[in-house]
Amino acid sequence: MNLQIITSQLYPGLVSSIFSFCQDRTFYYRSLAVINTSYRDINFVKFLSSSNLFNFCYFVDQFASDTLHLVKRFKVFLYVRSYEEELIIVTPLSINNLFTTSVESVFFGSNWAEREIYDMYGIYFYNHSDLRRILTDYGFNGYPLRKDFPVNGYFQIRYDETIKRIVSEPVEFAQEYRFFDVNNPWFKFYAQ
Amino acid sequence: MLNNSAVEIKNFNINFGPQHPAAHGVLRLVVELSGETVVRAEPHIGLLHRGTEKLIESRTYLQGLPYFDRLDYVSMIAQEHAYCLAIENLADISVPIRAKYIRTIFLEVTRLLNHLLAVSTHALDVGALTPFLWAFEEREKLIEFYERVSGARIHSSYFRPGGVSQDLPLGLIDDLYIFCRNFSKRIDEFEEILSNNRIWKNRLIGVGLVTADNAFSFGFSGPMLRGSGIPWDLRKVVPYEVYDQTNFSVAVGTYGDCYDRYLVRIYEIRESLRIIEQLVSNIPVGHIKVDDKKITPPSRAWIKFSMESLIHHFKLFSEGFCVPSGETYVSVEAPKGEFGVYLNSNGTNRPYRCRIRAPGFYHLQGLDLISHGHMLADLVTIIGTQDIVFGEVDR
Repeated sequence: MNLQIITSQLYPGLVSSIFSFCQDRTFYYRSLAVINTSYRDINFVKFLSSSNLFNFCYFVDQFASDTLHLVKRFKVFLYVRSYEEELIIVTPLSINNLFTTSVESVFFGSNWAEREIYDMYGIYFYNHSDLRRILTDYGFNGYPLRKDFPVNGYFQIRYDETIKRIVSEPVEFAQEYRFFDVNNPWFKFYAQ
Repeated sequence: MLNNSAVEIKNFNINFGPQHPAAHGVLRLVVELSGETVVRAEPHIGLLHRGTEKLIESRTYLQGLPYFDRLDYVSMIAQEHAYCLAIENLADISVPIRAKYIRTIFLEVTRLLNHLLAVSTHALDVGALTPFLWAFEEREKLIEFYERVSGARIHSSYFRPGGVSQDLPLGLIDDLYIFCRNFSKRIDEFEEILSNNRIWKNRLIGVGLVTADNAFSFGFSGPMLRGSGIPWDLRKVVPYEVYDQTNFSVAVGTYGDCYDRYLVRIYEIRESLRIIEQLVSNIPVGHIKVDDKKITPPSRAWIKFSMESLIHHFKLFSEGFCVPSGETYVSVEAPKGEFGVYLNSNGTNRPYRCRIRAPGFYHLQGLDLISHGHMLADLVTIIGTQDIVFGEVDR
């Protein structure tokens, strides 16, 4: 795919590597490029979406992931598509620098996707029109999909019959959350 | 005393839902109305948020599977399928051909289930009660197929990584064929009561226009995209399972209004029947899951005889299987649109990150733009045509 050559000429220093997901392994036939860039430039995204060379105009998805042991532990994935090809732009971010550029002006659909990333990971998006929490409750604290957030959460909500309203209190369980660490340290079936 | 020219009329804000029957679940919509015209419709979602992604990340691969049934609870199997494909992609498993046929048949049964509900509840919202009753009669038959094959009526967890959980029971193929023959007449009845109905057409034609550019930019998929004239169907673009061996066509709308999307759905029902009919007459015999006992459990009968089987069974349902590290994004054409699963494995028995891309999430986002300038009653039509289910929107 000539995407690498063209983009690295036009945007020198922006694209650090292009590698393939394992998507084409069993059933995916379309070519997929992955661009790894720590700085997501809005003009670059605009160029990819509107130039006749690529025409990546179909917004598919935007999401993030958290890999706890890395310095740049957060990654923001922007998945766009043209009629022929697919492209994922990966933006790694460290905890001290949780900012990236919103692509809402290019893809309207990324508005809620960015709100969800902000909600779940606390990643902030520049130039976003309405960056609020979306899926969690009104007044929720913390970022649930981060790896250091417990599955149980911190607060539980119940209706209190005496004061006739909903109260929020620290979680309390009759039985602790059980985590079965069954990973066998000396044998892994698929260890690489 | 009152100077009429200086009176400023403030727009009216109302809360639509979360308990409104036309909200299809728990949609809270803050609607700003000027008279009866919608100026702004802001969805507040998350009332059904269960943290599915977080839960899946804390469980083994097999334990994560049933969560996918509960996302979009009217097209259950299509979502399990995306998850199974993602695992198979990472672990490099190839599924036996009979399992592929069974999967494709049940994917299309699921499409029928979903579209029957989508079209009939849409009609119900617009004011036609009868199709709803007819469709649920037919859905009951389809749900019985689910029950016969997996034991569960709705949340079947029938697809497993490496195949399907058990083989088709005797006589199911024949009954599917009989169902297909009878069901095409039911669709004719549907069309008789709706397609040329004056009220139905008045309510739908010209309402909820989506241009192709907007559909792309908003990330619409499924009938929402095809209704706008884009022939984009993942079953054709990236054929998975045995879709490349079946003969079917993709419906495309012309104007991108609600009526076009209704016609697209009706057409897809007919095409699904066509696919099922083709598959039930050519289904081969053979294995229904891969023969690798490190991934698929042995049969219950063998557990009584073979120590190896007993061990495998115990290990698979306690520890689960490990998936080689890597990441993949798999998307399938679920009935509502493109359902995607991003799976990141670090080589253990739990997914490290599981992202679920729900089509309804992006469709609902476009509600504000689509409904702008329409009447309040048309808002209900637009929610109906988007085929929103909150299990998947809120995840």
